[in-house]
Amino acid sequence: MTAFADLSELVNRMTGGNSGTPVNVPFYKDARVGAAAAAANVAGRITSLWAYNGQPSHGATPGAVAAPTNATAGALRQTNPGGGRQLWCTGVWATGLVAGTLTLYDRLLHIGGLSGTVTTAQTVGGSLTRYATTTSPGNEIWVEIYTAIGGTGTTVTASYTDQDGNAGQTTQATAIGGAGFNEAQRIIKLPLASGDNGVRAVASVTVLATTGTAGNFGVTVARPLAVIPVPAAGIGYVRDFVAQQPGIQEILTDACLAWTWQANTTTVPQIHGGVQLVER
Amino acid sequence: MAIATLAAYRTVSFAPHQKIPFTKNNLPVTGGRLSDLWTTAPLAGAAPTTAVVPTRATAGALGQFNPAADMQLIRATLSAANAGVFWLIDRLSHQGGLSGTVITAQTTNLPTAALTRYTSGVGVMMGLTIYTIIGTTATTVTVSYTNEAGTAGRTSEATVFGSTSFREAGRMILLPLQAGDIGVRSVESVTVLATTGTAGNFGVTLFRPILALSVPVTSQSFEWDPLFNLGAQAPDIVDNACLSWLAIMNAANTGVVQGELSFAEN
Repeated sequence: MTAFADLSELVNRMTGGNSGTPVNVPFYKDARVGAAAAAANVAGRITSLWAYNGQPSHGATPGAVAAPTNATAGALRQTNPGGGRQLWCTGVWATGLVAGTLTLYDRLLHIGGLSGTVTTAQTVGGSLTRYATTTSPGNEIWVEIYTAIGGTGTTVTASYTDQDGNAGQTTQATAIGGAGFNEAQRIIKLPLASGDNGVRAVASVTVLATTGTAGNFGVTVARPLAVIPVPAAGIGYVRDFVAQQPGIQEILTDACLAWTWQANTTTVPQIHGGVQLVER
Repeated sequence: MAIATLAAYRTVSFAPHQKIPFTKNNLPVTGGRLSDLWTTAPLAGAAPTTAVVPTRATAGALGQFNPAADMQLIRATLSAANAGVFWLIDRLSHQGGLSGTVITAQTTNLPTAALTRYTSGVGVMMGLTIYTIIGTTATTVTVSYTNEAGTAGRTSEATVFGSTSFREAGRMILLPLQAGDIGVRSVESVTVLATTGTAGNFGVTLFRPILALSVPVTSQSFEWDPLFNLGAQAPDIVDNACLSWLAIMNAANTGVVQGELSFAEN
């Protein structure tokens, strides 16, 4: 990874010099999933926008475990850099129908088809193709609900391999099922075992007791990249990585860039925005 | 050609090749929803009828000159009587004359005129601009379109159409793409699922977003600079671009909007 040398180089590349290939990838998320309105949000909880209609198009509910890429429907679908260059995100802007927080992440691995009524270990498996080994610190394990599971609250854990390659690690139990933890598109982040700060693989996930409805949920391994606040309806925010921390973000080749939304209200969001990319 | 250095950037930033001031009067909107300022005075465009490709010379466009070589937007100043986001777009193709009461596939003044800018369709968005208010009955709308790969017969995902916030003149309803698509080359027909109750007049607009400028505080002027607060965005402005504005407001009105865009030629 080679950083921009100085502002002169950035100016040159952001205006198309030296094969900088600058592009602002616009995106839009409608408040609907498939043919119906999306499920009401829960204030403070995290909603996946993977299945929300929009442009680029929505993603499908995953089946077997897979490592999605920038060619997968549901991703931002940015073009990979050419000529041995790297791709960098210099800024993100967004606004919405309601207040909340948008997070841009690289969707590293996903699986669907798991059940909210099975109380034995359900296999995940698969292999990461980005942030896979020594760069895995920062990877997170999410439970992602595609079809509502049951109304009975219980807990969930995952067995995983940590950032150092230690298999058999177990996440801390966290709530699943019941209001706020069972709706379609809900994301439940699984806290890592003490001392861990990343994930290389997830072997399985275990629901402690039945939630009462099988539904359809999955496990997603994700790498958060940028957080963009939307402070109020129609108020925009530019997350400027040139002038703000944490600085210009690298976007790995084939990255499956996608979005989550942490709601401030139950109103389903409609979101507009753009991601500024440049090659170096 | 690019701007080679920070020093050169400073030079063109302080002495741009073109500066285009603009003003828009108030447009009633719905907070958080997208509106199209195309027909908002001054510098108002006309509601289109037949399918045409608007350009920088079309009434309603900002009207910048074409450069001798390349041109980038390098600085902007904007204030508005209400807080909101103003989305500068290149209006690529538009038409009008569609009805909110016809529930069969409408092909009046369609297909849209072929793109002459961003011709691949990648990143091109499609929306329905409402020129005369349609009905109060909520329904959904879809379009048949050709995607960025040239595949015809694609169908947008249904989205809400008609009823409060989805019917007023000036409202733009964005159309979500079919699974797998990332852009649009043309729209062939529009289907309103059930009557909204009033015909009104609406049309298809194809556009490419250029830059979003946020006005977070009422009636304060904000300066936007690629290296200070725009995340290194200095977007190319292609020849003949029909620059115009969309708005997503925090309030029920845009209020008076005024600003200035500065362009560098290289």
